[in-house]
Amino acid sequence: MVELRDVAKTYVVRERTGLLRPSARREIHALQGVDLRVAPGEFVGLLGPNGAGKTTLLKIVATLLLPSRGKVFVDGIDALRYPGKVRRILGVVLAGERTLYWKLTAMENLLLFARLHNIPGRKARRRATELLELVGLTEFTNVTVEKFSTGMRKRLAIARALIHEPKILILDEPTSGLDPHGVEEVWRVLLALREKGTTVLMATHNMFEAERIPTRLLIIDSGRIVADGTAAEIVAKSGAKSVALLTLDSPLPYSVGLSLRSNEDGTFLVSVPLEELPKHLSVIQSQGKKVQNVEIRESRLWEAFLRLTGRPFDDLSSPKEAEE
Amino acid sequence: MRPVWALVKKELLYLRAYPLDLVNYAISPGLIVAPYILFAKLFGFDAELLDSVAVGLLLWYWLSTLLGGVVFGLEEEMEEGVLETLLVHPITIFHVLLAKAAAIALENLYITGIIMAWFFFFGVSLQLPWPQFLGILILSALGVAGFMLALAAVALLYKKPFELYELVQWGLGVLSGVTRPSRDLPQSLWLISRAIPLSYGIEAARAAISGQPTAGIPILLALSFLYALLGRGLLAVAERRMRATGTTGEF
Repeated sequence: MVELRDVAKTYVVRERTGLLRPSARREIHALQGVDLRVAPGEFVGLLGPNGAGKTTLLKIVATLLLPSRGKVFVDGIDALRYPGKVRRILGVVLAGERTLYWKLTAMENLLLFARLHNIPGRKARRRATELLELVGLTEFTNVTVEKFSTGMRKRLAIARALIHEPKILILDEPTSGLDPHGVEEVWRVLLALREKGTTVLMATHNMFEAERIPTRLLIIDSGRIVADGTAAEIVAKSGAKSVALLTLDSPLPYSVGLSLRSNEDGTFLVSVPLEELPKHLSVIQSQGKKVQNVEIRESRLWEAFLRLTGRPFDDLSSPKEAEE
Repeated sequence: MRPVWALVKKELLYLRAYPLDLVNYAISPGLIVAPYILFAKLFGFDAELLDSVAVGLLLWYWLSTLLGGVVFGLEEEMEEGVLETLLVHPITIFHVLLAKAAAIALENLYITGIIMAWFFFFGVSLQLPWPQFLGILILSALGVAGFMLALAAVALLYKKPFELYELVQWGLGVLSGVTRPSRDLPQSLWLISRAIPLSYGIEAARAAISGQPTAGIPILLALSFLYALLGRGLLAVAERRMRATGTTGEF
């Protein structure tokens, strides 16, 4: 359905160093030889921190970006040679809010984009009505998008991408920037799509979302796919365990062997494997330190990412944070 | 054509959100046309000369509105972030430009009505052979299309083409002989004017109102074709470079 063969993308950035000095040239290797196959009906999540190469990969599949190397096939069509044909079978929701016409109503937006796919008027209206119901915006059919919340715009953008019943849906961080209610509403739509067997390739940097929504997960870091499988399989393969995050009032001595991160409020954060929590708590208490808070991270992907890449995931959002 | 008409409809729906634009369209032609007409009247030019000036202004105003409207329209799509979304649909930037041109042509019909009212207000009675004039106008618009595509390419690659547009707009105006025949220009400028399709359009329109044969039409057609090819080529280069550098979402 979607196939990437040895896809690489290098951006050349010109950095200005002064008014009269020549700009410096720097290369950024956003993707480094990615091979990927997405089968029909799969809901694939692409998890990685900011700058990992998720958006670059999605934009290459969406025909918005040309790779520096490699081949891309969508439903058997060479996406680099025939981008127009590929666009007919893709539904794409890009990151950011401005993917709709804000001065038009929800219905006007959907009808406009339906007509870009050559869908005749009556059929387009019927489909738009169905999709507005799917994304829970029926009562806002005739309201201009400028009056929508960010979450409503995201849901309408998903409806827009589905208007021509695409074979593949591409979503770039559909819940980023949303409040918890907005996240829940978008998840409801995504889960409905998963139930219907829609083929989806979705980028996210939300650990909890990555565990909960996709049927298959890819972990991407520095332009390379470092893990592929279900969230449970990835965690099992990496040997990752649940962790407890302890907030301490003062730092621990080096001899204890735990790495600390200082917080802005003057406290210190330390991460320990959940099964070793009692042992570490007694060590901390023996040092005369006070534990202000204990947070259990059941999202073991965080730990799996650390083990797979050797560095912590830069997004520390926990299930608790995502739901709050 | 359904996608193009859908985009035209979108442009017209946007007018609903900005009704003051329609007021601006009504007033600004008067402010642009008035000084020329007043000078012509002050210096006692005859009715034929007034018609001649009016025809030049009308053609130039129409076409510069088209040129500016399309390029700034594209810039607006980029700034609002919608251009990238449009490009994941089975349409090209050429379709977007075509739709903008069609929408602006419709707006121009309204503007023409207002300009005619301004002419009437200043006592200029246009004795135009309208079918012939409209034919020349359409051909001149094709001539400007090449410039439009080239400017759109610049907007895609370098963003914010305002200064360039100003230069092109006023350059076209002066060199194509909006207020006086281009043959009165210094020879070097006259030579440049021969490379501008609008010059032939204005000359043909003036010939039409004075009942003379419109000899420059084949050259206008040939130049229009040449510039359209050149503009289309530049736009294709810009689109490809934008996809290679990943700047489809930038403005």
